[in-house]
Amino acid sequence: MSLLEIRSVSKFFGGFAAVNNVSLKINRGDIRFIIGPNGAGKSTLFKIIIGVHNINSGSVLFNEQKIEKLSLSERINLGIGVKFQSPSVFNKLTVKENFRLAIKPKYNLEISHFLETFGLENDQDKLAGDLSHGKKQWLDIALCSISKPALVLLDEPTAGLSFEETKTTGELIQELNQQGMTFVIVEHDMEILKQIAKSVSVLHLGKLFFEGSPKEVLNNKQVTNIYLGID
Amino acid sequence: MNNQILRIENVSAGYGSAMVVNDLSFSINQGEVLSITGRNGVGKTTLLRSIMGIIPITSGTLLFRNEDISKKSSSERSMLGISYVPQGREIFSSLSVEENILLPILVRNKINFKKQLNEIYGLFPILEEKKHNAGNSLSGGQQQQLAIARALVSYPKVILLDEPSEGIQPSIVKFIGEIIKKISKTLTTTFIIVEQNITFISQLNSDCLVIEKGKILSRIPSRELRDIETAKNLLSLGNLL
Repeated sequence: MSLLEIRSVSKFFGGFAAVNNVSLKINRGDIRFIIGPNGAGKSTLFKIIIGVHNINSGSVLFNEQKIEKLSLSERINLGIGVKFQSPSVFNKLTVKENFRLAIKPKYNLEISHFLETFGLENDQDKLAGDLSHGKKQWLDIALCSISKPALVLLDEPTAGLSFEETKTTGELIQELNQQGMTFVIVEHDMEILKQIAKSVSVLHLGKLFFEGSPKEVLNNKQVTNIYLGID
Repeated sequence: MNNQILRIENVSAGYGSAMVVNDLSFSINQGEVLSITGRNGVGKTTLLRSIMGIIPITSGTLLFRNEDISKKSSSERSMLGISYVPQGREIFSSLSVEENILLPILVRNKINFKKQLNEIYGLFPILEEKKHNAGNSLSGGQQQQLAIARALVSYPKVILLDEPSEGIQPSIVKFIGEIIKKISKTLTTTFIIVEQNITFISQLNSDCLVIEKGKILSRIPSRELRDIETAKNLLSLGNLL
């Protein structure tokens, strides 16, 4: 059973098909990367999954339930966590206060473990706005995963990070994955893809172009031609 | 050295009382490519902005072709031959691609720009294909090419690039790396490139400065960065600190 299924989804802007009859199945436990050239439809697909864009045809299923008509907050309540490209933390609140806001009232979660996991234990009383860009990204990932959603969607989580911060981000995602969270990640950074991806979908011109393991994708000549470039 | 084009001597710069660049010195020759890397917030962008004159330096000297430019404005430095491509590119979205390219020479009242345009389009064919399109209709990779083209059109001696690979697909990153190497050779343009992408740094065939807390931690020679795994080890802070 797939945790997330995109079934023949299309999204048009005027006469332009940004996503054109795309179908994807993402199983529990996966770390799925979605890659493709600029304009391939990755961001549109991301926004379709979280409910920012309505679709023109097809359906989106989460845990076999159709969710394409649900709002973003309804989808989050079903167990979908979202992290946008720019960190969306509350800069004028402390790290600890950001965590408290993110925890649903029905959960009485202990945050010290999370602070430790994300390397923020010494920053808990700092304003989030005073954190480095890397730590802000990690705080943002922590906030969208603290309620243990079944599915976490990340849009370019390594944007603006050094390669060492990127590696740490990969390790954090792997740890959350081992705790049972499934990930869908839109990225251009091939280092983190090689580090943690379990499967990869390549979009091109709004369509699903290729799908396979990281090795299969990185060794595919057509993917090299349209996206990776020749060495 | 005789062909030294830019010399940074004991430069400090920052915001208010917080010094972000701290007593930093290095030099670069004409036609050389130098990359600068380091964690977020260590002073890389501040260094580029202080070379361009956007942020005043609080101490030290900036020498451009042996002339002290420390007190000169950004526009004076630009007229001398220093160009800056900031992170985020800052393309004029409502102007066409060609209008974006021509802005730096139009403001210099130069009316014969056909040669420059032909050279730019020779380097970046996609910009010729899209020359009448609005700047904001381009993809991120195309916008980065446009930003470099706009910096290049006035034939500057030095181009400062801030994270040119950010958010761009790998094939375009490779293309931009090859173009930078080509321009540095054929036009002897000097490039100072702030970058976090190790694959891109490795491709540039350039020395790399590692910055930490506003100071140069190490200068890694280009020959040691050609192999990506060696480059990762050499540029790792854990190994340098």
